[in-house]
Amino acid sequence: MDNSAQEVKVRKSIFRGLWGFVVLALLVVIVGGIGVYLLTHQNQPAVIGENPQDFTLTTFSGESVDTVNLRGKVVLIHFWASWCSPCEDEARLLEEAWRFFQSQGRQDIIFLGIAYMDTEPASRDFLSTFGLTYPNGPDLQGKISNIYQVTNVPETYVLDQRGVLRVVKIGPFTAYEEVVALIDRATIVD
Amino acid sequence: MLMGNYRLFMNLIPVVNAMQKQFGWVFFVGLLLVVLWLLVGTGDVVLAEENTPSDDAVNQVASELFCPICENVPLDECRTEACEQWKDLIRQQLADGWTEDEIKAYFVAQYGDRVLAKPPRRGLNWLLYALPPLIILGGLLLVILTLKGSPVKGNDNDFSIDPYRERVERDLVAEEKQDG
Repeated sequence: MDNSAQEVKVRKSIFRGLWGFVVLALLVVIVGGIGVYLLTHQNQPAVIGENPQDFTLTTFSGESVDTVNLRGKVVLIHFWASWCSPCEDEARLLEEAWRFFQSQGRQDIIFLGIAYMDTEPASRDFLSTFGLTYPNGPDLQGKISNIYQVTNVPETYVLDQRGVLRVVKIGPFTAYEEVVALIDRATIVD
Repeated sequence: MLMGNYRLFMNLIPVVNAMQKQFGWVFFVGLLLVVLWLLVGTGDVVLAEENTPSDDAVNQVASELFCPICENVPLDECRTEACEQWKDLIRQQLADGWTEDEIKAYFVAQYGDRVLAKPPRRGLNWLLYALPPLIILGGLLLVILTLKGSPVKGNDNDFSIDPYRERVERDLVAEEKQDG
């Protein structure tokens, strides 16, 4: 076999190797790029001591509540659903606590109820059954639960007057005093 | 069927006559009211049955959606209370004349794209559709290139492939000749 034929073979081999490398590199770049994008764009769970992203809640009565306008108030954000049994007992406790603060003239405390993955008719029935009077609204497109990375209900988050997350409560409240204690814990005393 | 009804009607005439003699016009007014109630009542039932979508129709739409709280469970196969509520809502929407697309659009507006069994082909979702065939094609290309580059098996006598091997084989043959 002469040298020129061998050279052609070697060149072909190098060419194939290069192509293989290019294809492999492309695959690595595509898959790696997606991985990096997902890692950097994924919402991080709300952290105690930090300011979670603000949101706007449109309540079932059509009122719009923006958390950015609630600075100066302690905000209790409660995720619930009509299909969640523990949420039923808790609804009574929360309403009781809400009425207590209202009767004390505590305008610096606000409760926001967020219906998580619930249908509107069922949510409205729930509100009417338990006579909830604090603002409640649906979690449209899951945007609010995404901020707090809610995985199940009930979950409760309390922000202080500066909008900093102070308390996270996973699971139901068992006593009305527990709600009051959480509000006290989150309140900044001057 | 018609003959049967006719006979029944003819047999009822003496009974009706006797009742009319006994109770007078009050009987006829009462009979009229009963007939009217039956017509209106059963009409409602028939109408309600016609407007209530079947389980199959509800499940057809539900199969296009995912359970809101369980992982990767289609709504039509899910038996949780949340899923039952969603299916009730779908049933109500179908009864109200909503189309499948309108119902899906409603659920997306309420809960986001994540409830759809098939993510819509927009934005980053395109990757879900484009990436698998792209990776398979790339993999195939790699396999082909690797196979083409590897030496052909079953052709051990082709010494021209490797000059070093060609020389070794030649030397071995020469050595055998010397020994022989």
